[in-house]
Amino acid sequence: MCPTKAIRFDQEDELVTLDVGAIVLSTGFKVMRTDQFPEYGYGAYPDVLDGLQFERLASASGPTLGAMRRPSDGKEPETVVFLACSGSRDRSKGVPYCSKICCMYTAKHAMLYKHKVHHGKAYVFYMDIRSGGKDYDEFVRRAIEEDDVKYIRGRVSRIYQEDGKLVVKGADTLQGGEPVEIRADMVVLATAVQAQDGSEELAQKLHVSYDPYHFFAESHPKLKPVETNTAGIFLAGACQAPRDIPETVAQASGAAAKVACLFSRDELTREPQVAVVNRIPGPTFSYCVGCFLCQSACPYQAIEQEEIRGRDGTLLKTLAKVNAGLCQGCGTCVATCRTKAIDIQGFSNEQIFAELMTL
Amino acid sequence: MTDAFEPKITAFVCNWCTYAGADLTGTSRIKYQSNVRVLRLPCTGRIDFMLLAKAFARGADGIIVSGCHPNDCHYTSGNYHARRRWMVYRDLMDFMGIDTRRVTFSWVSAAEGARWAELVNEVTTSVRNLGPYAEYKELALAGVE
Repeated sequence: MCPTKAIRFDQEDELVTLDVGAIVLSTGFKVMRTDQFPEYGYGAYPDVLDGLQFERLASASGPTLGAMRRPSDGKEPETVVFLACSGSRDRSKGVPYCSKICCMYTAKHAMLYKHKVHHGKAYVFYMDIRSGGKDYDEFVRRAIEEDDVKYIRGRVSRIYQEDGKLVVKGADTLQGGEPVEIRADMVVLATAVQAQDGSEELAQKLHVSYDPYHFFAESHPKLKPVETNTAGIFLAGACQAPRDIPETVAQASGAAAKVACLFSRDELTREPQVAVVNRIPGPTFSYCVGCFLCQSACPYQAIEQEEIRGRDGTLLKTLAKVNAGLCQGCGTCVATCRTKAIDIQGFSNEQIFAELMTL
Repeated sequence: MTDAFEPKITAFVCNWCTYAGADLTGTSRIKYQSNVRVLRLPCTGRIDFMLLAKAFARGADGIIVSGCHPNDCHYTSGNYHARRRWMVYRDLMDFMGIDTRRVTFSWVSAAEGARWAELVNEVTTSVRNLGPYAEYKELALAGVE
């Protein structure tokens, strides 16, 4: 195929082990599939698409080379219904959060459709139009006013097939909840944004906290939005929460700048409040017995194993060792240690007992 | 006698949630019982059984342990460690003869200033009803400490 043989087809996947100073998590998101909506046909109707599938259909490099053709029979759809908030903001059977990007891409999809099929009709069912952002509301207004997309505030209770059409039954809550029935050729569900598969396992592996929906948790919602609680691990994009492209680019730039700051110095700065393992009289006499209960208790993977060897290289003892660059000073290891071999600077046993003695 | 008794309560609180919550109680000008002595720790996960025993030994009549709500720990999981440890401590204390009603384990977030006042008032009232913790001295003399 390639005349210069630039592509090697015999190349296989390989596992690469790297020592790195920082990790930026940007594993992205997935969308809920149409088969998760029983009232919209459990994914059984070929002409009920999700937003990503419509995106491919409208794309010039997609399966139809950009021509608007519905999947079931390849005909041009005359009427298309878009459903915003499919699964989002739905405590009973979807996710409670707003997926944030759907209002905008639904407006874009409706416009794309109208630009390709001029005589076609586009309807959008929505709960609220959340078009916060620079020029975002103007964009939605353009879809409504210039491209004649019909926005109907209300939810769709059911979709079923009848005579080659999809019957969309909903209500218009701005008309007093009046029932609306649209016989459509194609329906596009703006399905909820969800965390990527495997993000829980990844978070546990990296000791990054995550929310009940498996989005990674930032260190502080306002002041540390790109950092995680584990030093050296940063976040960018929709793996943290649903967000659109400009926000993702801004956050990724922030994360990259944080990493650049970290790498720009010859030495790391850290808080003085860190745990230390007792080894005052010489490492072999340390109280630490090498049980490494602290290692399993540490939320930051800051405790390493250190081998103490004699002059002839024989292993004398294995001790816990705190990586002060990773330790955040929570002191969980101190309470876990059975031999009191680990202590935390600033909140040492001696200091706290002294406080207690004055009670 | 019991009317004059003012219990001494030691509170072990975490720096990020309950300590900040107690600070909010003050800045919100909420009044509460003055019987509590607050000991700040980085995290409830730092709390060792010996600290509680020592507080009783130093004359505390009641103890409050309070940190961040589950899933809200500044250090990801310290409060879970504390909670698991508390399940063990309670049995151990019971076995040793310490009155477990005198130890209250709670969660107070940095936004719950009113909750902190409520917690202190509740514990103070219940410990006041329990009376001074004189039995601890007997336990200590019996060689427990």
